[in-house]
Amino acid sequence: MTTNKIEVELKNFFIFNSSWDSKEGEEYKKVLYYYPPTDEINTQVNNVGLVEAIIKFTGNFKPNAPVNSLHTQKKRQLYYQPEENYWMVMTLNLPHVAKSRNGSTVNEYLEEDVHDTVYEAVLKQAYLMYRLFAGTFCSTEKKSDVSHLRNKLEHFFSAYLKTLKLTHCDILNVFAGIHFLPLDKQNFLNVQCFINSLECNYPMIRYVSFLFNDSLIWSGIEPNDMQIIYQYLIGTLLPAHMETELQGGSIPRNPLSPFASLHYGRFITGPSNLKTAGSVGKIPKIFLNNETNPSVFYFIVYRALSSTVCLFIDGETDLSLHLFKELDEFMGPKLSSIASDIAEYCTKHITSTNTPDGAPRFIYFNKLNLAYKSTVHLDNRQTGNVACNKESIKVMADMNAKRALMGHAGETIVKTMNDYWIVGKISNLREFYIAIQQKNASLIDISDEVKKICDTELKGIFFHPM
Amino acid sequence: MTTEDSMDDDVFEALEDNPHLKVGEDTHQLKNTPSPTGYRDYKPPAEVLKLCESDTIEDSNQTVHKTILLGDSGVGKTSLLVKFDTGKFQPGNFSATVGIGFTNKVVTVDNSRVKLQIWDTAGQERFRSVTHAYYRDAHALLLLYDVTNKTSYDNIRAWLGEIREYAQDDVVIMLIGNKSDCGPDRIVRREDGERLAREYNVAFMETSAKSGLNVELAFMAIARELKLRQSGQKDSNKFSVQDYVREETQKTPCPPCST
Amino acid sequence: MASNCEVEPGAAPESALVTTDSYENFQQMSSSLEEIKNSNFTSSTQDEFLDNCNNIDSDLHVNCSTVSVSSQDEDYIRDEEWLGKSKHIFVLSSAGKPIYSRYGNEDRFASYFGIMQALVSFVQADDDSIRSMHAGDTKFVFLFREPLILVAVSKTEECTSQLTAQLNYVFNQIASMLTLSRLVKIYEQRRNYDLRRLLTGVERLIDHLLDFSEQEPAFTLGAVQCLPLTSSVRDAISSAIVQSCSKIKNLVFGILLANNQLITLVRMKKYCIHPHDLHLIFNLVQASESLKTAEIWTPLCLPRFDASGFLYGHVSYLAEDCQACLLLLTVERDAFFSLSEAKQRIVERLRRGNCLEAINESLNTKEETCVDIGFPELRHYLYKCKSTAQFHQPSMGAPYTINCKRLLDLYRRAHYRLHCPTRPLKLLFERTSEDALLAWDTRGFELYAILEPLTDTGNAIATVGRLLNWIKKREDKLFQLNAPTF
Repeated sequence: MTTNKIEVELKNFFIFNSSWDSKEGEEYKKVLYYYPPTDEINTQVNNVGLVEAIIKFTGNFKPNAPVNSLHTQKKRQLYYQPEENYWMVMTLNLPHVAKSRNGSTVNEYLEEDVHDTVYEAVLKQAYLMYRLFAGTFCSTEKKSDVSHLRNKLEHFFSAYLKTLKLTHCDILNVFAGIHFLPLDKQNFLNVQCFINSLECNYPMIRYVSFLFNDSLIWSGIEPNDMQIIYQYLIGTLLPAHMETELQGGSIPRNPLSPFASLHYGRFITGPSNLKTAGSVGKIPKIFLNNETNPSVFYFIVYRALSSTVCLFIDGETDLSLHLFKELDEFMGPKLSSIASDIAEYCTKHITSTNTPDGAPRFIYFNKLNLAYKSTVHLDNRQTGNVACNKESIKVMADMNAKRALMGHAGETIVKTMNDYWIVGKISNLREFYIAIQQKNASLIDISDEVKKICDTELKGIFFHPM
Repeated sequence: MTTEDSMDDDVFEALEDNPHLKVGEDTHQLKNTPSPTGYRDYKPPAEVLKLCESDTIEDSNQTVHKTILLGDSGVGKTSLLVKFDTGKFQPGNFSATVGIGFTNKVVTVDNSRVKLQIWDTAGQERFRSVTHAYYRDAHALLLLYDVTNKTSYDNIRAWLGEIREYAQDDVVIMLIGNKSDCGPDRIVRREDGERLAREYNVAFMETSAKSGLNVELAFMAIARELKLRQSGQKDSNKFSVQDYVREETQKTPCPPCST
Repeated sequence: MASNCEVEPGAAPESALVTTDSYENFQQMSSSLEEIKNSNFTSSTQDEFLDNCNNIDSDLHVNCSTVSVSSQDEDYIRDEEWLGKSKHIFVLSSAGKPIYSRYGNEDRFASYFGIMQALVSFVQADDDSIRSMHAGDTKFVFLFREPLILVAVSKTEECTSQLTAQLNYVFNQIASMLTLSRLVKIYEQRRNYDLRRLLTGVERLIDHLLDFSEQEPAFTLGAVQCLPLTSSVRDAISSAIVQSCSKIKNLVFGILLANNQLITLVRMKKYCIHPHDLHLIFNLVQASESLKTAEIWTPLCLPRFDASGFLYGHVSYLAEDCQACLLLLTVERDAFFSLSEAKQRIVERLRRGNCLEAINESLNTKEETCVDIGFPELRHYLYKCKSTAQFHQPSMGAPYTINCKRLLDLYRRAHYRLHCPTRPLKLLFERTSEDALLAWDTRGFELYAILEPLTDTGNAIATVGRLLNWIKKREDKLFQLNAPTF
């Protein structure tokens, strides 16, 4: 029997303010943003009404957190209250397969395929991304008015929702981790030196972050802020840039080549071509330190070869074309040279991630520094390009969702119906998941294998000796 | 393995082959059996044991007199019966009767034994279809209400209507206001009960399963009436019960716990 | 991972219990009664019975003692004790009328019932059905089974499907008192019917069922535990029942149980009882003190056996000196006296065969703990033989004698993970700083073993292998291996 699986899809997405005491017939006023716009006002109001009823009803029983999800046979609804009285709601149609039963076709909805934890993370990230570029809902509404907030939300989310890759969301969304590149002392010092001299010479540059390919080497901003900026860079900005690069061919084909010329740098945000530009153009502004002391910065991304530098410039600064020219002149050669040194180091010292097919695959995450590493995923771009079967990754998400029950440390080994083995280890804030595809292995074989993997991959990382 | 050809069966087959071997005759067997009905705390009354020991007793009562306890859920039907049967009061949260409970009790009326087969019904409405089936064969009905519960009293008329519909016309009916020990919680006055009984021409008394007040009397009155009827003195009919009750209750205005 | 037992312990070619998957469709019902009645002449028919039921409905003579609805919701919202309950259970009609609340008088928060009904119907209007809501530590689980809505509000660790299973039990408990057909019919006739008037006394059964299902692994496993008896004694008991009832027609089940354990189950040929139905029977017996005062005759619907009609049960304890409860279930509504006599015959045979003593001895023997039987590294285990839907567990030893809730939580969690509908597992091994757990689901059995926290996989496997052999050697004592019929 061939089953046609319909993947998870976005049914609607809306934001409302529950404190708006709207009169009957004016309930639509509390809706701040609603997707899809094709839904009638009445539907919108009804949907918001249901959510409000749910919030109120569940609140009566004094849970230790506000309501976060609604499960129905065919749908999943996720709630997030990022600011007091502001609610974001995302509704998903559950993936389903059509199965013929007694001659008629029945849709079987795969409730367990959609993890609340994963899509809560997606919803939360949507908010953080918005806040990064637009500040808090509350501040906008206070500063100007609700229609301004509506415009901003419309402007941001209409574009943002299109970038969601809902079918490929998995445990990595829960982590929203950062991939770090461990460097040798010399290379690391070079990066450090470069950043210091930038901050020294250009006082308007408040913070600097440094990435090589998809990996972070240094960040001057708060980890929470870096986490969301990292997601933006890796998930959106850099891939888009690469595409234009590839099309334009303005950069040598092999950016890792050590024989490249001295100056490869260019601004990714900011004036795109300094020679022809007449003005600085539109520089994105972002909001950092939102939880403590929200402040606005210009967000300038500069890239040479595989290295990316993020400059966070005081939002009050008057940016001139001259400044960009000078920055380009200062950073270009230095960054190009640092980038080629790092590339050289990497080819020599970092073992390639080309693990053979069928070998154990793992995901590691440390909540303390937000570091993650995955050999399950073949890229960091959430393309669904994975090296082990999806069921195993879902089992990992199951384990992750239930990790609180394990206490501060624990180990789980499971064997699925298809004879895949999945192992989860939790120690304080670290999580380590391994998928092993050895059909005939015994439990004892697997625990030996896990020991080996831990010895090679987690050298020096302390795991509670279980 | 099937049970049919089990080795142990032989032991039991012998028993099956001898249909005359009945509980009552097998006195040795009985002595090993603490209770013929098999209930915890059930001490068979002397009469029962005597009855078992010799079947030769003077016996006007091979007939079994079916008596049913009726009334709303929670008025104390089971408690009344347990008090009468065992002398003990089941306190507090004793659980509701499931379906119909069945108890055999032999009492002595004027030196002869009367065998009462007492059906304790669940008061809940959902069991009513089952209990109706048993009204038909009943010789006597004890209809209870709870003097602390007005609804249970108000429902008596409905119960009487039901009795008219399902029971035989000459059934002996006694109206009982239970929980008379309640003190200040009383809601239904004694006079109300009496008035209702007069209206329907049935006997009446107040009882307390807790203190034991009139418990024995209620059942004895029924037994006496049933015996009288059986022996053909039918004319006296219902009035005799009422008179008897009046007499007996006047004799002992505050009878001691009779068991 | 291989077991050295050729056949899983406790396996039998025939089972008196329907073997089940725990998360199967609960709504699946069979209609065994029609079959039985069609094949046997019976004195009363289902139709007659239903007619009678309808008659009562039209005789609306009993004043409903409903307290008038007062809006004192505020009391409960502020009532810390009420809010602190770890699991609330609500039952309401699809029109939103309160029927049952595990804690507190349901009339005092009638508005909550209104909201629950509204949530259900709102989602339903979208051609969908509400399953659950999640808020931090609290789960709100909905079960809509026409014509009732059941809701659990739980701060326990149980997952949604386990809570749904519990709600299904509550629904079946209600159905077992009224039959599903009647339940449906009542609401067809009067949408606003107050079902509580028909459920007087059932609240206690539901209360008990909820506590019971939270304390008994039997509910999680969908299985029953047998009272350990040597097979000759168990067979003698079964044949005493069979022999004593040989002349009685239409007897469907004869069930003897004690202390929440099955002694024997005799059945009509071709018919099996579902463990869920048996759990309801266990619950009825355990929750009804009144059964101890007299022989009882009661209608009882076994929803998984046939939700459309009643069986009639003669229920009694064997004897003052043997607290085992015997249920004789028939389709005849007027069979009380013949069953009452049969019961006397059964007791007599059991007494002659010294079976009562054997039962008492088993009841009085404290069951062994794992340490007693020579498994020091094993703390506790559950073994379920799938083909007979029976399970065995040792007595609770330290550290779970005090904290047995933790143990049950572990089992429930492991059971769910093995049986999760979309991602079932064959094997689960988990170690935390508190304990280690090995859960193993094979074709023939399920085993859940709780071990010392530092047990490594090698030791765990070795222990479990030895344990299976140990159970195998005692299988004829721990399980009822045959399925006798009348």
